[in-house]
Amino acid sequence: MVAVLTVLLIDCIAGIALFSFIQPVTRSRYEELASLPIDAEKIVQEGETSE
Amino acid sequence: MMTTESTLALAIFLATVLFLLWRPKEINEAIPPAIGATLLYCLGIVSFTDMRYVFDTVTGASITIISTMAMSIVLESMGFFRWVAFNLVAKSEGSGTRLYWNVILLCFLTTMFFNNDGSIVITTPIIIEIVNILELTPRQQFPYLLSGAIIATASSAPIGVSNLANLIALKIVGVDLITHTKYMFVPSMMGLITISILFFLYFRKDIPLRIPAFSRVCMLLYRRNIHNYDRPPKHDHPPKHDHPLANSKKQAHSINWVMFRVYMTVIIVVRVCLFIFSYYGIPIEGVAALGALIVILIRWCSQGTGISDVLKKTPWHVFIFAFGMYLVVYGLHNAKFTDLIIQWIKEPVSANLGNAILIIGILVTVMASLFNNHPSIMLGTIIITNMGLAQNYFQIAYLAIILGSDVGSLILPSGTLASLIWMFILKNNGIAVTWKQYIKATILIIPIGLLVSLLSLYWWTLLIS
Repeated sequence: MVAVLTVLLIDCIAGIALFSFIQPVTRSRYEELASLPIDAEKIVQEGETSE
Repeated sequence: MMTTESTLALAIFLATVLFLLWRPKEINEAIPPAIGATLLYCLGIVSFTDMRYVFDTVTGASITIISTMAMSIVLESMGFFRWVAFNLVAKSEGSGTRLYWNVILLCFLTTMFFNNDGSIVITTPIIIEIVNILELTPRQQFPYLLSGAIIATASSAPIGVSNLANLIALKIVGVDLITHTKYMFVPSMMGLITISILFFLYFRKDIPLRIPAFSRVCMLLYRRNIHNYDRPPKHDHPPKHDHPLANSKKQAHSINWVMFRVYMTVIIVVRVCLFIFSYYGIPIEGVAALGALIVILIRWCSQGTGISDVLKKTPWHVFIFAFGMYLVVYGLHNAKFTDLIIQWIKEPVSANLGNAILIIGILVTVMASLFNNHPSIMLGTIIITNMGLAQNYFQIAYLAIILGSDVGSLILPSGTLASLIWMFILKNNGIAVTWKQYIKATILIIPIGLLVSLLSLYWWTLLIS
């Protein structure tokens, strides 16, 4: 029984870690990410213009 | 002196392995073992009783895998994988490197919580979603897909319940779960860390430093308010360029949180029941099948979706492969090949602990790579059980078998059922990965990871004994 409970405990820790890990980022962080400049496209466009 | 029976068994085994590796005209990997098994039965090398034994062994594992697949398909149909993919994309913050380590961590934790096969059927669709959302090229996709699959499978070594093959061996050898974890956690973690770093270095040129589509994706996801934040978004800039998420409501829908909670509750309850019921000797495949049935019934009642997608998306050929290959190997055992192997390795294995770990680990790796880890675990445990080893050597040899079976078996896709299921999921999603592409990366990295794990097992055993 001790063996089963120990492995169950490890499993619970893994489960909590997994579900914490897959949670979304906060709204404010999303706002920051969403307001990032779309730099790569600009670089490509600028490259094409200069060519 | 070889008898006619053992010569035939060996010839059929070699032909099966040859055709499996060669696969002329890309024949399905289940065909060579199925033909080999049929021949063995027709020639009387394996009996009907042997077939029953193998069927019982493989059926348990197969039902558990099918049940996990059914739950996974239901989760996929409610948009759960897409939701997780969005979250990991946001957490990567546009860095390909950060995304790589996030994928590794996701696969590791999923295997620790479920098992290796379950982890493959859950994490592969998530990684496919991620690479599609970020519009990565096939060359950029491969590092994430392959590393994720390898880590998902290899992460089953630290705790006994993460792999059905481990459970079979635990039962035969009589090692308890605590002893397994005590001895295996550190060595297998060393192997996992080595493999993750080596894959990162191997694919460093294909992993993008910055992901060009990231900013656009984040803006689109934010505008669609996919996480149902209570306030409407402040920024609402229209996208300058089209993205798959921009044009399809289906692509970025938010998930039904009520149903999500119901499904997750069922899955967690089933997981806990697996431990409790196995303690009382109730077969875990029964619990897993019941859980899958409940999840399918809930979906049928709430959404009216039947079972057809589950039937269609289940890789039935993988179970034919497992059954056929197991039977071919059983034919070798019947023809006394295990006795031959015992004669060859008994003396060096008994000489010292380091020899025992390395020889058994490498032997099982070779066997698992050639004919899958399930039958090779069976042969490995038969070999060490009949070798007359001292108790401490016996237990450590068993742990070396687990490392060979869980880590070493990843050199070829046929080494584990999880790898075959992975290839099947990729094919279903229109991603073509050949055996050559797979082996080109694994042949360099897996042997090093295995060696690190085996040497760590040796040193760790000396340290804690």
